[in-house]
Amino acid sequence: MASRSRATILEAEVIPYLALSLQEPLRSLPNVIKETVLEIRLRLDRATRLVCADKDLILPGTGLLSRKEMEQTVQFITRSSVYACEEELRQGFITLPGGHRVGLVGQVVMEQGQIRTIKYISSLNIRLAKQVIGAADFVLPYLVQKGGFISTLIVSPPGCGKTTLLRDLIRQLSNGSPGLKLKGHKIGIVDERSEIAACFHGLPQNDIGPRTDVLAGASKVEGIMLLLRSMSPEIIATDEVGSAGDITILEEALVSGVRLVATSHGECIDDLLMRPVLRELIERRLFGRLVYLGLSQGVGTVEAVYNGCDLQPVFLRRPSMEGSKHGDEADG
Amino acid sequence: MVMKLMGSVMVVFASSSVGFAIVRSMRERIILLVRLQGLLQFLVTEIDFAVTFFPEALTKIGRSLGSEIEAFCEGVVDMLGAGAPLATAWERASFSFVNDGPLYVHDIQPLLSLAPVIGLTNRQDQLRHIKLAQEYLRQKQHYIEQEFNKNQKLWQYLGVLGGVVAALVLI
Repeated sequence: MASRSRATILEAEVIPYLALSLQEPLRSLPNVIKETVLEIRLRLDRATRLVCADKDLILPGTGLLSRKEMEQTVQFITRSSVYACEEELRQGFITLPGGHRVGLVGQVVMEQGQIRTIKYISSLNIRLAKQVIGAADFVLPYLVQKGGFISTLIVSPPGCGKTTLLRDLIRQLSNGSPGLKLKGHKIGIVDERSEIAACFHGLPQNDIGPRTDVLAGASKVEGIMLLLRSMSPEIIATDEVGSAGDITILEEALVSGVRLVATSHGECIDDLLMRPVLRELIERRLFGRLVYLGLSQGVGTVEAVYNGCDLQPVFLRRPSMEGSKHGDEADG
Repeated sequence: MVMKLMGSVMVVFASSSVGFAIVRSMRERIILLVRLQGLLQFLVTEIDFAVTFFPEALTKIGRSLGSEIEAFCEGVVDMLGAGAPLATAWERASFSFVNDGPLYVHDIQPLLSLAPVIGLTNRQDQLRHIKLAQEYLRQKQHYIEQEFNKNQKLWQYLGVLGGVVAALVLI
């Protein structure tokens, strides 16, 4: 999959979904800014803001966002078919072609204690997706033993690149890595929030490898059971584990001989041990490796890789290591 | 005398044509109203069962309901592609049945009433509105059918006899 610049992605895949009055101001932004845009934030009666890598700025040439502009944007995003996006609206986000996610909030309509839909949409957050091919190059050797993949939990605070690493890991495990004597594996993804494969009309928008099946929108518990029954995966991948129900279903998967790769929020490994569910996850040794990501050398820095059995580091980034995003092997 | 006879024949022919044209127009109105109900029925299926996005649904439906409906669907899809809101596209395309077809503005009123809501609400609401419009179209069709059955002969006879009377007066 050829890597395209963020400016090209913005122009081709995001701008056409915005209200007509916002399209030209965005197109006329200098490429230097377009390259750094991570999010576009639309709020009713407030200025349109661009969240860039290092700052956020008001979109030049635009005023306060009118209801008409908001409605037009929602109409373009739903392709004039709100009825076809009911499930997405219930979940609070819609995926665009290209895997870009549009988060929506407004007036929630409840039914029997659950969100039925969102009406009077007041804010939109358009988050640009960009797959980083090779994000898992560094960490993969630590997750392979004797040509076999070790179940792995990726841990990091929000915005450190967990899902990006998970996505590339899936791609590489699916392709196989001759250098590591790792064959291509059959992978099943339970993509609860459509963030990993970013399916649009059932078609993954990200490169997730030739042996990967995606179950989008399903809860982890139901999704993993379905994959086990129907697709006989060798590895199951999922995002954001952390609820009590997750432990049971992950154990179920391991008993079936499937290996796991998942992510979880956490400031550090100690933080995981302080959270009862995740501590149980670690104490039961469901994962053979724990990968901790941080920001010390930028987004996606692998700070440490721990052995899941004894929590000893297999790799630890030394604080003195400047310029190397991935650091060095630990002594242990 | 020959000229007078030829002129009379032409007057009778023209007058009869007007009568028959009115009848044909009423028949076309009925056919188009039936097709519009078909369009809405297809939309119900696409929205309720297939949950197809609106532009795709219209493209699919257009192919199977005759040239007028096809032109309508293409018109809406083209305008959507050009960035027009669905309400505007639907309304403008609906007027093509009046401007280029046999319908009157009051015939397309059920379609116009759909314009502000079509595509923009949840499935249940869409189905409710579409079924309501379908019902109005059905009533409209029945009314015109009754008129047609009652007045079909009248218009035809009126055309022919009006021509004959005019010819006799001219002779």
